Amino acid sequence: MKRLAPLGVIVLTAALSLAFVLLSPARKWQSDQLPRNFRIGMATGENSLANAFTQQTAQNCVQTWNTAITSDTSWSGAAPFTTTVPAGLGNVGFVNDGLSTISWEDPQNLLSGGTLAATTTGYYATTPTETVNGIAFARITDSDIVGNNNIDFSSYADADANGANGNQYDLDSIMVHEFGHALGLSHSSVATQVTLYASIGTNDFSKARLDDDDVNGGRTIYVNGLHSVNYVAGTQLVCDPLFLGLSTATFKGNSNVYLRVTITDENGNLVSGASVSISVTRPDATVGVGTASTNSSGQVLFNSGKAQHGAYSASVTSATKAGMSFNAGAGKSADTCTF
Amino acid sequence: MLSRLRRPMGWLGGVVALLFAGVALAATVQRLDFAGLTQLSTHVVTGRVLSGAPAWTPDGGAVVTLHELAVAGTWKGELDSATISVRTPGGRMGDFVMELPGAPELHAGDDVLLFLERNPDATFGVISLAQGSFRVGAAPDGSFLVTRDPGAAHLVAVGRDGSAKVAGLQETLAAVRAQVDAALAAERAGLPAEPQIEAVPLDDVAAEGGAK
Repeated sequence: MKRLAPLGVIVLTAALSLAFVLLSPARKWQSDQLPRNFRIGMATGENSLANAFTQQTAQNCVQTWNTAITSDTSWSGAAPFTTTVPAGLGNVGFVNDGLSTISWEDPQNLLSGGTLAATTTGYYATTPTETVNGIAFARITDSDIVGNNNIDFSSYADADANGANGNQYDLDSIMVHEFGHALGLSHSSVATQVTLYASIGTNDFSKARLDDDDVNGGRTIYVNGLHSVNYVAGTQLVCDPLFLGLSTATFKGNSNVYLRVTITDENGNLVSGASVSISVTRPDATVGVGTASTNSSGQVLFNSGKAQHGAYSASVTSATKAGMSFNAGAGKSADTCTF
Repeated sequence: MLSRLRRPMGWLGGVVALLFAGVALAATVQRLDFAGLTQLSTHVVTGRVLSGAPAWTPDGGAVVTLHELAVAGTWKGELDSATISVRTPGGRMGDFVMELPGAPELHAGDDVLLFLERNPDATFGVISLAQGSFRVGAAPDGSFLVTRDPGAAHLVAVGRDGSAKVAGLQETLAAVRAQVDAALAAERAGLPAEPQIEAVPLDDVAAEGGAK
């Protein structure tokens, strides 16, 4: 049996691409620490979003990772991470107090301008360790996530309710990314992976989910005897989603209206090289059309010219790529926005 | 109570100090070119790092490192001293280490170009962590080259077209100065920031963005 053990590890390693990267040294919230609660520190006007959207985004990011981990049939027990929203801010920021928080407060003033969010993890490097899937993990003792409250954030829910402009940063994507660090993942080495690598764009809400490599990373840390996932590329093109936005944070005389289209397949994989045609009806009733191909991030950006006050409507009239068909009913292939 | 937890004291503190090897941070930042860095900065300076010393933040919650910088040139902002204190997140206090991958990695003797913001305590923070910190070195032809701070390798930078690790850089100091000066001129003229990626104009939109 002792001889077989290393072989088992090798087989497991070979089965996974291991494109995800663990924090170094490897560390995790150990079994006796779970479920681990993350306190969402909220006060009035935490950032540019309404508090309800901010709170919902933080809760969603934790739930996204919980789902990825607990959906493995080898997982048993309650979800590994929980959230609470106690009244008041409490002890927030990067405070090494053993309590995990998600907040938009930086009392130590560590986040300089231009920083969107950051995550700390404190850990014991020596002992005790816990071995999961053949990997010895140190013990995380604290982790805090802090977002910059001077950044113009949006979220999927906020964008649906209030529209979005081209300069807002998607808090859903950023929080999902940062929470991956809080549970023990570093940046993925695979450029096509969605969340833990180069994946977050302004108003790029399609990234607030996990790709197979992210799921495998989370399961490697938390699910002993994990079942790796490997989503097969789909055959349908899906808009995920279409957004109208301004080139400036608020409507100004020099604002342009931009339309971002993200194309995925039905499994959520970004699709590059898809030819996308759109039609835009402006407040003055003029109609503009355009066609362009998605880039390596599955995205294309159209410029509808100087912004007008009033209602815009836009739709993707076609999306084509060899071997794939466009499913206009899936995702969000039409959008309206009022500036 | 908190400061006692953070500043190991007594036997329990000693155990904590021995076991606690580090705190790491990963960060996402806005992708900023030299114009963007200039826009966010209160001061842009060149100079030489003279020293670095760790310190607790006043509330005892985090460790920072205070670097003394001899200023050689001021490209933006005004200073009333030839030396300034630049504060970077992270550092080591005894056995306790707070690491912030993505923070500027400054060492005594480094010649640097820094995009700074003034902190309330009169120290300066580096804009966008290591994205706003650059090394300046001499090239064989006598010119000066600007390269990335090593800490930038740990950052994910977000732009309108998605995000990526911060790209490598090697430009002459003169070329960088020209970009900063152009940004300052645009700032004075109140010109809007340009989109970071080229958008495809619709059929009835002129290439420069205005309606035909």
